[in-house]
Amino acid sequence: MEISDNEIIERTLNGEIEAFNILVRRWERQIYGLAYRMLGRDEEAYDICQETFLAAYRNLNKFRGEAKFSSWLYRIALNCCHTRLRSRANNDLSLEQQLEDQGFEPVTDIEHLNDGLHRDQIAELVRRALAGMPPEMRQVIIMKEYQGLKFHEIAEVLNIPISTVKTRVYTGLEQLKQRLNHLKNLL
Amino acid sequence: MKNQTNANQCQRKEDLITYLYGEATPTEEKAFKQHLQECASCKKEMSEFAMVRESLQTWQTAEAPKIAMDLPLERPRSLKEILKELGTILPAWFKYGTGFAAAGAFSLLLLALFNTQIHYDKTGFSFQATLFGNKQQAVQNIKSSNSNADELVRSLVAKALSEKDAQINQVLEEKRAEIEKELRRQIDLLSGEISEKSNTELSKATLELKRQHQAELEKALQRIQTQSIKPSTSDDDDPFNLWGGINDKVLEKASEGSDPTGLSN
Repeated sequence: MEISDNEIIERTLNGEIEAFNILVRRWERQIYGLAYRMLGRDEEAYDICQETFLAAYRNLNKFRGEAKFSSWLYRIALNCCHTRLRSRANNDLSLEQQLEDQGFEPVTDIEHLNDGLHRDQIAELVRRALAGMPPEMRQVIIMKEYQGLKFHEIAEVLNIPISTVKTRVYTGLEQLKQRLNHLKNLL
Repeated sequence: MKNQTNANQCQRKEDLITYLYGEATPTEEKAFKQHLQECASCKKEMSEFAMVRESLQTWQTAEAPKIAMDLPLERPRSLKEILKELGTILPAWFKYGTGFAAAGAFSLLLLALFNTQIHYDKTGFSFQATLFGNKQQAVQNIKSSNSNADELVRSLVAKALSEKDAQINQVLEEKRAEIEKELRRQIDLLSGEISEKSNTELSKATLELKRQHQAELEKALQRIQTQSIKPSTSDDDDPFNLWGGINDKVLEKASEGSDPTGLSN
């Protein structure tokens, strides 16, 4: 039987430092995936991973166990991502990305979005469409689509009502639908 | 539910999302399936969202690199451990200094608790501390100071009241004298008028009486003169022969031996 996150935390706090590495190995893939999709750059995603686990380790005695450890870890990671995003200058975005941020024409043929496109091309469209979304919307889509979190788990991470999470997911999907169609037309 | 052509106008967006991600309860799922049969806009939106989700899944990350952590240098410690380590690190002078400061603070706290009072006057320092009954003493002191203050306030109020009374009395006296003077003047005027009027009437009445007497006298003289011309038959018939008539009657009674005084018996 797998040892629980809370037991590992207890062991770490009792001086068994290496026990924390079990938590790192257990959650590094999810945190890396979250950071990578939020920032779009693997080097930054790696840095965010290190920052997240280091912050969690330093503040481990503040973890009360009221929420899941994974939720707490996701929250730290998202805070690190937002800090990194804020530090980025606007001119860091390409002209095309800036245009993407300004809104799109209504969709007319989403049913045939993927027709005639290679899978890698679609993935690139998705990456760019997500990058153009507001971070508050993007994080909800990422946690739902890629991290597989339930609505109540996302609500716990972000400390917002479940209904707000659902609304953001709905709006996010609507925006993605429009952005993906727009990008496809640009190809 | 009424069929919609635009999904944005359907009010079941949350239900749609819940159903889309398979988090609806069996009851909710059944209800929304029924709704999809009736709402074309929701049905269309479900299809479009499914496409978007399919597209999203094409973007997969490479294998996550292993995170290298240098944990031993950053081990989290409890507060007890931190204080213990602090005790070993701090220099002796700092620890003793802190101890003295803590003792001083504790002493001040005790002095405050025991109602300590320190006075300095011409006779020097005086020190007083009470453990029990200090509250009563304090209350007495407060009461005493309160009574002194009350007396002072009372005397000030009484002084102010007496001054005010004197001022009022002075004003009243002045008013009274003024009114009295005015009354006297009015009375003098009235009495003058009355005496003048009464004198006038009196003189008028006197003159009238004199005039009447004169007239009577003249009438009487005329009668006398008339009777002296025509001799009288009897003294009793003469109304003006007063002295002769009385003398005759008195002499007549005296001759009959009666005592007119009534002392002779």
